[in-house]
Amino acid sequence: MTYDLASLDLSTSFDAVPLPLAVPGTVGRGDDPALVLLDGASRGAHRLARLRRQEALAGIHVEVTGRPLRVTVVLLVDDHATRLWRLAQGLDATAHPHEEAFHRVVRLAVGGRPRALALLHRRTVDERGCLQRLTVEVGPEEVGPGGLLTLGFDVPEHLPSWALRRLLPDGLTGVCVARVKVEPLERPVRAGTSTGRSPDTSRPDRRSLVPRRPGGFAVSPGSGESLRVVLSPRAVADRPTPEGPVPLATRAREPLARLRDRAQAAVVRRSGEVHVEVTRVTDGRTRTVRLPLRPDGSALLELDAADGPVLCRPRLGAGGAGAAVADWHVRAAGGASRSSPFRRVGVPSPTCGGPVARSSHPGPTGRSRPVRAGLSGLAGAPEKLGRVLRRRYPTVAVTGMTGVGKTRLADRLARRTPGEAAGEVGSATMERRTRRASRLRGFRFLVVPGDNAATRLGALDQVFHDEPVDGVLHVVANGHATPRRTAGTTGAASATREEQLAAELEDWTITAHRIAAMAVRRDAPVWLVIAVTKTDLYPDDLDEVLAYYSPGSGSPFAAKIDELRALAGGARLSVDVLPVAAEGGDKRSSLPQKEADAMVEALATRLGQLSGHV
Amino acid sequence: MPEPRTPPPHDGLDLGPFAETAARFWGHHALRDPRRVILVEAMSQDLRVTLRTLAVANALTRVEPADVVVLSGTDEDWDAVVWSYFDLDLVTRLCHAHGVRQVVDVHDVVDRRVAAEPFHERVTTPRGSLDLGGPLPASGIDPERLASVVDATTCRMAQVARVDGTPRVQEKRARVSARAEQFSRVYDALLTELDVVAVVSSHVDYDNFGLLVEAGLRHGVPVLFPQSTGGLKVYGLFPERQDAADPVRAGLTVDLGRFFEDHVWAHREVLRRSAELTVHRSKAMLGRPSWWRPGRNFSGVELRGPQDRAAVRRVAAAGLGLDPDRPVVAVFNHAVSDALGTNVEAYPDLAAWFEDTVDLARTRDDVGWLFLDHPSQALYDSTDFFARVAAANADAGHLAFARSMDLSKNALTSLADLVLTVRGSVSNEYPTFGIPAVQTGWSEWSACGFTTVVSSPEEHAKVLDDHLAGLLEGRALVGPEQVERARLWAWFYRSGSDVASPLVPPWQLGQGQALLDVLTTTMQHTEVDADPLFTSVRRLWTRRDPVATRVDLTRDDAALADDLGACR
Repeated sequence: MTYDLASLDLSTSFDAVPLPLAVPGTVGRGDDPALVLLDGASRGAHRLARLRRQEALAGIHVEVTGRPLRVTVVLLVDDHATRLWRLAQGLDATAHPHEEAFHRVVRLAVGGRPRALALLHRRTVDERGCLQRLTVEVGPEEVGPGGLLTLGFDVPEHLPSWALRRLLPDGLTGVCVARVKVEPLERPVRAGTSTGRSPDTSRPDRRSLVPRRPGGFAVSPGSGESLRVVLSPRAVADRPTPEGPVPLATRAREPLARLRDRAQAAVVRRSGEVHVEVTRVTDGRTRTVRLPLRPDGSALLELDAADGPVLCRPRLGAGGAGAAVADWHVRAAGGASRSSPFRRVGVPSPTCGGPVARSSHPGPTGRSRPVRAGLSGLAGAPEKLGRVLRRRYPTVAVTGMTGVGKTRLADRLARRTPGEAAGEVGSATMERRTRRASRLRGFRFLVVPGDNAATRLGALDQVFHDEPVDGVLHVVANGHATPRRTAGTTGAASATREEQLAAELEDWTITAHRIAAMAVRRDAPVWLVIAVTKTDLYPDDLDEVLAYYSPGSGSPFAAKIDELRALAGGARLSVDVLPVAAEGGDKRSSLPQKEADAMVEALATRLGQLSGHV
Repeated sequence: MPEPRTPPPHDGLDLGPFAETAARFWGHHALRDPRRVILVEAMSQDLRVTLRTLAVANALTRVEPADVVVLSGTDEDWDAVVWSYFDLDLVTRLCHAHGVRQVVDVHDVVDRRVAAEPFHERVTTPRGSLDLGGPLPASGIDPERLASVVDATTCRMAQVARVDGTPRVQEKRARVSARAEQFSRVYDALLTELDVVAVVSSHVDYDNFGLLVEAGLRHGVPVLFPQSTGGLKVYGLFPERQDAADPVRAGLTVDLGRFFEDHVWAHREVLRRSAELTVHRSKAMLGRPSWWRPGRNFSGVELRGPQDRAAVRRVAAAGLGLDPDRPVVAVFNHAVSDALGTNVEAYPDLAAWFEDTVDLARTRDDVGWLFLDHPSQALYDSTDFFARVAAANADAGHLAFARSMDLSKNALTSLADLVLTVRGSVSNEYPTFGIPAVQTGWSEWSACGFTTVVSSPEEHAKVLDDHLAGLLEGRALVGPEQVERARLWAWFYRSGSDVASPLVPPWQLGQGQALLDVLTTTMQHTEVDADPLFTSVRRLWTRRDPVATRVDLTRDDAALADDLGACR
C-alpha cells in the first residue's frame, strides 16, 4: 500500500472511461481503451506503442480475474524504429551510422519488478525487422487492485562488457511494443532465451542461433524456481589459407564458396568444456560456469530463477584446439520441476542437440518437417472447413438475462418449431440456430446462456473475442423475464418486476462492456438490435417501454447504451430498438398471432438490412 | 553554458511579400499622430516576440493615435549568453513593415556612450529633436532600484545565482553597471522629451528591458507587456496602481488576484465545464511557460485516480530510492539567474531558497524529498549549483536529486504529495490535481487563493512543518475550492486571457515562413472589424484591466455564456 494523498483529485469529467481488457485478450493499438497509461512512449496507430525515452511504462487495465495470468509482450525493431532513433539523435535521413552493427537490450518489468530481457539485433537482411517475444507469469497480486497491469521498459544499468561494446546508445528509442497478449495461466511459463534474432518462419532453427555480435544471449526465468538452458556449440575446423596467388575466378566465387565450405566443415564437438559467463543485470554480478559437453554435443546450464533475467556469453573451453566456434544454439529447457508434465510425446527432446545434430540424425519419427506439417494440416481440415462453411452467414450473438426468451426468439427467427427446442429451456450451453435462406441471406444465431449459467462468461468470450460476431441481438423483457434458479438447483423461483428490471440492467452492463471491447478492437462497424420481447404482456405501455430502452432517453438502461456508444465511438456502433413477441394468438396472449409474426418478420428484415442482405 | 548554436530559424525567410502586405495593411488600420509616441521594445531575436509587440502597439494606436518608435539592438553579453541569431536588419525591416517611424539601436547608443565615443542619434520630438549621442541628464531612478537591476542583469550575464566577489563576476558587474547607468539616462531622456502614450515591452526584467519599463512607470506611462506564449496574451501595468517601492511585477500580482476574484471566480458556474476541459487538455501539453516543454517528452498525465497513481508511484519511487509509503515533497529548483528581484520573494535569491529548503529537508527524514533541477538550467547556470548541492547531500538517503527530464510527467505526478517552489508554474499545475503547493514568492496566480504563499524564511519553515504534519496525519491540505480555483486559473490562463486573433497566430506555429504566410493571407483576405486583437487591447486600455481578455468577463453569467458560446 503506497502513501495515499487525501486531497488528490486527478480526474476530469472529460477523461476517457477505461474499458478493461477481457482475459484472454490482446492490446495491439495505441487507441485501445484498455491502454490507460503510457509514459515515455507514443501511442501507435497500428501497433501498441513506440518507446521514446530510456524508461517507459505502459498501464493496461485488465479484467480482474483473481487468477494468475500469462502475459506476452512482442517487441519489434523495424524501419520506423530506425527512423525515430535517427531523429532523436539529430541525424538526418541520409546519415548512415551503421545502426545494424549495434544491438539493443530491453528489460521488461511487471509492477516494477524486472522479469524478462530481450536482445534486439536487426541485421541488414531482416527486412521486416527484428522481433522478440517476452512471456511472463503475472500473479494476481502483481495486478493492481483496480486491475492495472504495469509494464516497464528500460535498459539495465549493469551490463557485461561484451553487451556494452556495441550497445546502441539510447537504444530504447523507436523500439515498438507491437502488442501485449493477456491470457489465463493454464500451464507454467517456460524460461525464455533471446538471442537478438527474429523468428524466421522459413528457418525456425535460426532463432536459437547466437550471432557473433554481440556474442551472447539473454535468459528470462519462467514460472519455475530453476531454469535450464541447453547450449550446443557448433565448431568449425579452420579452413587452410591458400598458398600463393588466388586465381581471379576463385576470388570471384570466394564469398559463396567460403560459406559452403564452412557449412560443410561444421562439426559437433562431443568432448571438452563450455565456459559460460553469466551476468545478473540487477547488480552486474558475473560468474563463470564451467560445463562439460555431453555425448550429444550439448551442455546444460542450470540457473537460479531468483537471479531474475541474466545475460550469458558462452565460450568453448579446453580441448578446442584446431577449431573455432562459429556459433551456438541455445534453447531453454524449462523449469526443472515443471517441464516434464508438459513435454509432448513423440517429439525429440530439446536436449538431443541443436539443429546440426538433428540434420545429421533425423528424429525418431523419421518424417521431414514439411510432411509432418502437411499431415497435421489434413488432420485439422474438417474443423477448418466447418468454420468456413459456418461463416457463409453473418453471425449474430443473442444475449440477454435468463428467462427473457432468447432461445425462443432465436427459434422463431430460425423458423424452428417450439417442440424441437422444448428441452432446451434454461440451457447452460451456447445454443446455435441457423436461419437458412437463398443467396447467403441467412443468419447464424449464437444464443449466449443467461446469467444463471456458469458457462456464460466463456460464451461471451467466444462471441465477442475469440470469434467476434457480426451483430448483437440483445433481448430484454421489461421486467417480465421468467424467474429461474441457478443452473443445477431445483425448485420454483420468484422475483418482482423491479428485481427483474435491476437484474436486466446488471446483465446489460456486462454485455455492453463486452460489445464495446469488441467494437473498439475491430475496424468494421458493429450493429446492435435491442429486441424488446414479451410485448404481448404490456401492449398499452409499449411506447413508454421502447423509450426506456432507447438511446438518449435518460433511463438507466439508455445511460448504459450512451456510455457504450461513447466508448465504442458512435460511427462504429448502430443501435436499433424493436418490439417483438415470440408468443401470440393463444389464450394468455393479448396479441394476435398474425401481429406477433409480423413483429418477428420486421425484426428479421431489419437484421437483413443491417447485414447487407437487403 | 551558451545556448546551443542552432541554425537561425529564419534562415532563407522571404520577408518581401509579407513586408509589402503588412505595410499596406497597417497603413490603413493603424492611426498615426506624429505628436505622440508609443515606445516599443524589439530586443528579442525571436520574430514572434517582435511581431507581437508591434501588433499590440499598432492596435493601441486605434485608441490612442500615435507614431511608433522602436528600441532595438543587442550587445556582446547578450550575444554570448542569451541570443544566438539576433538580426537587427530583420527587426528593422519588420518594424518598417509595421509603419514604425524610427528604429533606434539603443544597445549601440549605450555602448557608444559608455565608450565616450562621439556620435549623433536623433529622435524627433514635439519641440525639435533629441540627440541620444549628446549630453543627457542623470536618471531619476532610485539608486537602490538601479543596483538591484544591475545585480539581476549581472547574474544573468554571468550565469550565476548571486553576485559574489570573484573577479569574473565583478568584471561583469562593472560592465553591466556602466551600461545600466546609460540605459537609464537614455530612457529617462526619451520619456521626458517625447509625449509617450505607452511603453510596449516583451520583458520587464534586466537592464535593457527592465529599465525602460521602470522609467515608463516612473514617468506615469502605462506599460503593455505581451507574453511569449499561446495566442495573444497581454498584461497591463498601470502606474496609478503600482507602488514605486515594490518590484515591477508586484502590482500585477495584486491586480490579477482581484480580477480573478471579481470576474473569474464569480463566474465559476458558467466556466466550470470549460475549466474542466482546459485541465483535461493540459494533462497532455501545458505549453509555455510550463515546466514541461513540448517535444521533450511523449506523454501527458494519464493517471486517473489513486489506484493508477499508486501503481506508477511504486515504480517511480523504486527508481529514485524513495519510500512510496511515505509522503514525498517535490522541490522544483528554478533557473537560478532568471529575472531576479522582479517580484516579492521571501528569500534574497532563488538559490538561497533552494539551499535553505535542502537544509530543512535534511532534518525531516520522516518524509521523502525529491529535488528537481530546472529543465533549462544549462542556459542559466555556469556554476553547477544544483550538482554541488546534490553532491553535498548525497549521504542523506531520504533526499533524491534528479534532472527534471529524468522523470516523466506521470512519474512525477505519482510521487509529488506537496510541491515547493518560489514562483514556478508547477504551483498552478499541481493544485489542479489536488496536490498542494507552497510558494515563497509572488507570481501571476499567487493571489488567486489556491496556493500557500509565505513571506519570510521563518514562515516558510513553519508552514512547511504544518504541511508535513498534515501529510503524515493524512489530512487534506487543499480542499475542493482550491482545486476549483486552480482549474479556473488554468482556464483563465489558457483561454480567458489568451486572445485568439488571426493577426497573432499561435506561438506553436513557429517563426518560419509559415508564420509570415499565415499573416500575409490574413492581412490580404480578412476584414479586421471586431478582430479580437483590436477589441481586447481597446478593452484593456480603456478599462485599465490588468490583462487583455478574450471576452468581456464583467458581463453577467447569461451574457458571458453567450459570448463564450458555452455548452449548456
